[in-house]
Amino acid sequence: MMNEPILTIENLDKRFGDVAVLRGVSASLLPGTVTAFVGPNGAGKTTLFHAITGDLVPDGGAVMLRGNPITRMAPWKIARKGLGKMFQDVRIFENLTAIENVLLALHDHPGQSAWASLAEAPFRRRLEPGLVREAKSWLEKAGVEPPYDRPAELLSFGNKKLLALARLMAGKFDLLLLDEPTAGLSPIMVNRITELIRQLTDQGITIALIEHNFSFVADVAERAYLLQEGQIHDYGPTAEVLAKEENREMLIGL
Amino acid sequence: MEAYLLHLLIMIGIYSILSYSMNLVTGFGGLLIFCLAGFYGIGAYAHTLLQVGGPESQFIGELLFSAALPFPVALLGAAAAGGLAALLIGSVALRFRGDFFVFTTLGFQMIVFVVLYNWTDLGRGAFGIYGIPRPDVFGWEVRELWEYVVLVGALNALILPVLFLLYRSPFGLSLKALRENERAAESLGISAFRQHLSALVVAGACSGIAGGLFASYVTYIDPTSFGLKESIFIVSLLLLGGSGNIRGPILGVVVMILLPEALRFAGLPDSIAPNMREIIYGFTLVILMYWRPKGLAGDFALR
Repeated sequence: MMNEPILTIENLDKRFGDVAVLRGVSASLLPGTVTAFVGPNGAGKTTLFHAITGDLVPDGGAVMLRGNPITRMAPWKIARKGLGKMFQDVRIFENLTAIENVLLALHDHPGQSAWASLAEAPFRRRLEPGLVREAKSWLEKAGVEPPYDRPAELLSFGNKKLLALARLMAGKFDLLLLDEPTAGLSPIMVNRITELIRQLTDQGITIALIEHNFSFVADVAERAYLLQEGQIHDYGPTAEVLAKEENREMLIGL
Repeated sequence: MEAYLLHLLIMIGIYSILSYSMNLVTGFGGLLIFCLAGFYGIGAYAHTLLQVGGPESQFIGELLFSAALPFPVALLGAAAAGGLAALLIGSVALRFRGDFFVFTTLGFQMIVFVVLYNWTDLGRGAFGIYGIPRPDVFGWEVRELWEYVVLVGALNALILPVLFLLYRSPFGLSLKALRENERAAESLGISAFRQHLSALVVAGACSGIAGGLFASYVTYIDPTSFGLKESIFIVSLLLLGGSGNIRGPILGVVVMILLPEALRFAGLPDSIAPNMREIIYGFTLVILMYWRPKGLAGDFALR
């Protein structure tokens, strides 16, 4: 049961005009593991993530979440099935406070319909403090620097990334796609993120990440896929994939 | 003079419903729409057609539909008509993003105007409908100006708190998130289409009520009151006052309604006064866009 993949990608194709960005990509993610997607710029890694999360509609192939097809499903529906993501450019809500950012992800926060919001308006005063407390606790767990009640645009870049992670933790997603979680971060922040990822996998959460920081990849990821020109070039335990000479040449030119 | 002030109060009351409705869609949802006057007009016509009629009506046989329903029912009908119109336009326009969305709402606004103008069986077209009954609210016959002030005030007191609750609710928060970054909000499981459509329907229904109030106050309506110019005026209320909060829209309404009245007393020659007013309007908006894109008291810059 444990080895049943949580996410399976079968023969995914995506073209932008004449350019084939994904060419028959197949991959699978095992529950509770960290899988890295590495490869040169333009290999199709981000496109692959977008095709999984519904932000791009693939031209061919299928994506299965726990055995159920999610290909061509709207991104918000896929998110509600437990697939969360962190964008390459983070995309927190800059003009909302850190707390509001997290509140939006809380599952019991009835942010869905206008009617539900009106119906529970009389109880709002009683519900709100508990939700705010929960949001705060996620922010603390992620290590976001207080104060939490100011617009999130005032946070440093590293803290914005932590906030994005806090949002994903609060949303109780069980599969996370992280697009370059350590890009542009100081070594201290990278350690912090490494630690968070370990905590998340300990709770059984599955993580897939795109990374160019190979010491970080070697640290956190059990398995790695090497993408090149829209195809899976190599796959295996991270250490092996990163050690092969031809792979090293492709990735770091050595 | 007193009558004149009461009239201004009534207009402020009607426009405050309109601008707070628009605020939900534009200030919170981040969607610029140019069809609010369409909902307003549809509300006014629905209210009118549900109210005029009866055996002594001079329009029998002239209008396609007339029902002689009591005022509160007609007002509910106006809300339903406005909401339904918003549902219709929303489910089409929300398939588009950005400029194309804006143009679709603009197109809808023009369609509403052209239909009201040319479908003479429905609402007498350019002739308009006169003699709209004055309100009779459960036995209270609203005739005097101050009674209208009370009626408009009471409806504001009913509608605005609902809108304010929505602003502050999780629904309002999700609208703000969509305004900030639609794809990020969707990645958290928030449906842009659903939330935006709900906001539009709420705004359409409230605007419909404002239309019904307007019709029963002036007792004469024709399509020119609900054209594109009116929609642009409502957008400019928000541009001027600011949006995305509670203080902005009302400030915009008060300034935009009182400004031309103040200009009336500025001693301009009668022959150029109306044109000068339009020019000053335009200038004020341009200067504001340049120096204060958030409006006088807004939280959100439409840009």
